[in-house]
Amino acid sequence: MELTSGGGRTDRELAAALAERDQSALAEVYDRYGTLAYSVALRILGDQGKAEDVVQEAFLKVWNGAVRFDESRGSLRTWLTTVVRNRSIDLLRGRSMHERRELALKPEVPSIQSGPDEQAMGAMERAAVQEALADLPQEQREAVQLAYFGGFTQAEIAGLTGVPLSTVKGRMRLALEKLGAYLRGRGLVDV
Amino acid sequence: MSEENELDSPAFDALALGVDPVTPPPGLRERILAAAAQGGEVVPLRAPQPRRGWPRLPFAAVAASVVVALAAGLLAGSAIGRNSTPPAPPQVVHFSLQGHGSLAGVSATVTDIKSDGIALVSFTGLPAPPDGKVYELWLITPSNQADASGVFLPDSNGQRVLVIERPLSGFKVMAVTVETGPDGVQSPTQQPQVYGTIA
Repeated sequence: MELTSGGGRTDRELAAALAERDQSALAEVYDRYGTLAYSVALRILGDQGKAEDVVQEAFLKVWNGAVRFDESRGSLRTWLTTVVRNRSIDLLRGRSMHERRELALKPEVPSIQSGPDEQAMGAMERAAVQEALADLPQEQREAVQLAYFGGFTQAEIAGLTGVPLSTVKGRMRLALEKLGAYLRGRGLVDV
Repeated sequence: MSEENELDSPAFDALALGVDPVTPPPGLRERILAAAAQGGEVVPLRAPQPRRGWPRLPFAAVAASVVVALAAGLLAGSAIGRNSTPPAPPQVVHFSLQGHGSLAGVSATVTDIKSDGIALVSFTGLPAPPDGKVYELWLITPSNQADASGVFLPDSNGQRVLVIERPLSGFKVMAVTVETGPDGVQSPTQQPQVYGTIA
């Protein structure tokens, strides 16, 4: 899905401009994905200050690494959110397993504040992902939430949930297959 | 399917898109763009160390002169301000550091984003320090206490951008010394070779 925003440059064009050190492109990427990046970091860490630090690091990593960006490996948005998620999980690892579990499984609450420039496409994608997650059996949903938002390995999830590792692997595989099929069916997410 | 392959799946990545949006603080955009504008290569500094004394006289004299200058400025400001409303303090302040002696070619610009309690320091003209040595950044109080604020090395172009993730209020001078690497020292062992008054 090639994204544009309000007549702005496509993600591909922005990535190329970033590689040429075009600072207006960085501003445009931030305006497009800053809310998403911050929301993901805050969702994982539950700490506004740390979430800000992670987002700053992530954008500067994209800024400095844009010349190496390879679109065949994923979109600019996916790259950014992956950097945000990985760095957030790094910071999370210093916390107790209990706290990580609580953070990972905390229920999504209705949006307190939506970005004023939030795109309708973003809202549709969010609704689709939330619906897809809600449709999963609880044990599968928890497995993917613990992995994505808590950074737990499958072995750790097995320990946390008291089921064999093979069961966790099966739950993860089924959950991701269902999520992928659901989202592809909606045609809203690059999966 | 291995765990690595599963977690590499686009469906896994898509979970980010389901997170409810929260608008980031307005200062974050400015911080990121400022850091990018100053080179974009940011080295987060380590956590501040406990305050240690700065006993050496020459630098103490530098700090003392800064205090005197500040006091004079305050007196002047007080006289000027008696019959007027003082202006609101700026949220972003710029000042510079200058090299001296063997580091006379070094300079740095500091962008102090007071509203966020963070400062960016962009160095140019830094030679590589001697083998086994690093540059160490210090924040000096009016009473000449030196806070170790991080160690760093320049890139191949003699440049480096640092982020100081703490307010500069309460400090009067920012300074750099050459210290033993890789971790630096708790208190300065030599006179500062690059320094400037914190605005």
